[in-house]
Amino acid sequence: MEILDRDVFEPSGTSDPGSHRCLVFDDAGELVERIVAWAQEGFDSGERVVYVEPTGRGGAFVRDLTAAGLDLDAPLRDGQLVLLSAEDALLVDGDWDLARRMALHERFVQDSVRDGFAHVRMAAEAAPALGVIPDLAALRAYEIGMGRLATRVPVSVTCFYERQAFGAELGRIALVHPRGMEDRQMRVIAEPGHVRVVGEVDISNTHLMGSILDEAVPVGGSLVIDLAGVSFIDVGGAGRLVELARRLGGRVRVVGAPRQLQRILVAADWQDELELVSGGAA
Amino acid sequence: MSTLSADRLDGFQHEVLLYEGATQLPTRLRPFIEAGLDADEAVLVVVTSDKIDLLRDGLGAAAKAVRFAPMEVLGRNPARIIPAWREFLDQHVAQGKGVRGVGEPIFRGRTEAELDECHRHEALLNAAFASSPESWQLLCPYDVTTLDPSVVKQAHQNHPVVTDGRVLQPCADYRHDSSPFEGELPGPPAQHLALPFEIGPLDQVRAVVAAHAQEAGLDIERIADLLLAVNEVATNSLRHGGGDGVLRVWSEPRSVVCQVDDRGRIDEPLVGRRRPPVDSHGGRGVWLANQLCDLVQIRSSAAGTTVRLHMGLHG
Repeated sequence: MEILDRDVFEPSGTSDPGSHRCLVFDDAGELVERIVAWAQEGFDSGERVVYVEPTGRGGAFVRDLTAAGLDLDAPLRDGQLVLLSAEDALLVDGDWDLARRMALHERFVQDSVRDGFAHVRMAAEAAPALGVIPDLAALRAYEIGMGRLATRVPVSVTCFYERQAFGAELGRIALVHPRGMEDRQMRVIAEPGHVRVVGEVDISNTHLMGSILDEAVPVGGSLVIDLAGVSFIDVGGAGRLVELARRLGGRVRVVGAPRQLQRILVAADWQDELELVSGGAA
Repeated sequence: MSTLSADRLDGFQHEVLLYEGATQLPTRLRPFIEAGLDADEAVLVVVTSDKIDLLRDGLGAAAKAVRFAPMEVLGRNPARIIPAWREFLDQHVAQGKGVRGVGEPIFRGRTEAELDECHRHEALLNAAFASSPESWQLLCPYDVTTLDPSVVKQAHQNHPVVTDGRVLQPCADYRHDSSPFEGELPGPPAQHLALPFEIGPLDQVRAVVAAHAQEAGLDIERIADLLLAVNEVATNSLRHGGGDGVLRVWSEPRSVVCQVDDRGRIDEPLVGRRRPPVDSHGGRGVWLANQLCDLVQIRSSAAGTTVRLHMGLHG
């Protein structure tokens, strides 16, 4: 899987062609805010905007975006805005057929380019999709497929995950997103054996960080945690790292620890429990 | 009443000694210090640096065996004093050695808020060590020529025992029942930043504090420390204080002040003054705030809790 690596933490709503983003949200208000920003940006840059409307939401997308002041009549009329049901986006004639589904997506993007849209952006909520696809393993396979698609044709994909609905599962899901998983405060990019955290870690997202770290530990191997991009981490976050190091018998190395983390480790008498490696990214 | 000979003490003796002017201090402290040295006790004297110099000169040869620590550093935040005595005790008791100490938390230059917290610290010393197995004496000198009578009066309320340097007597005005969280703080200035917060990310709380601290001219490391302290206190509000709170931020002539109000109640008197065990889950928020901030004030009752953090503009 190609890892697209960026040093800069993108603000929410940004999506460039070739990117595959996974966003964690906490409540309906936050979700609407992010969808509005995402759609607005797509319209402004002349992209075809494709949203997978959760089955049974009865036009919530149109309602929410109109309430936020967006004009959707023109984009709908011109074909710039396309609304799909979850079935249309995930299945083929009502059946689960991943290979065929990906081929059809690829053709759709190529058709969009022919229609005059240089790029396509797609977004969907993950939870409603689960009512349509067989299981979580299938969802992950779909995510991997879309990630690969995004490197072949000019499409960007954004998936919205509700934090509470998915819980610790987000750990596993994060590992299939090359661009990582992000919430309002942080982004975590993970592959087996290596996790990079960017942004701020506090009570609201320590759990998410922890789930991803747990999932990234290779069997019998060690974990490198790159914190060079962390601008804030609290005692709970530091404690979670220490707890992981204890569980793994020390097979954890932290690179680029912010000064704040060192302060916490000293104050809590945890200096000997977490190995800090100085210097840049491993 | 026992004198300062080699009588066996029972438990913790917290004594107040009145003296008249700094030049008297070496003479007034000499009997207490020498009694400790004669009994092969480790003696720690925590007073301001200028008085350390005075004592080194005035005590002569005896001073060599005495440990000194500057109060304006060790006890800048008075809440750090109790853990320092605890550490001193643990160090020497482990080696089978007795200890005694001198501590003068109040000095010229303490703000009103610091003074208030010094009194609360003195009262808390009794709770901190009264039930410890160790027998030791802590003498607190108060200079009547430089301190307000109200301060001297409070000293008598906080110490069970008064000494003249040789003879101990019970202190008639001693208050058994004081709480470190009683009373109310003077209100914030009419114009100040107020930000309600609730369960969820605390990024806004931190951003507000960072912006204000930066504008006030706090240096980058102290801003980071203040952010961490405020974050931990706000996190406590989310966890234990009812799930929400209000952050208030303002500047005073020499410091940035951040206050967190919530609906919870703190009832552990020594909160933040005992080093949390390595294995404990949580319970570190106030401890950390005390290590990072120049002053932490807590008021708590059935009506709710206020934690006020002060960070001096110049470290």
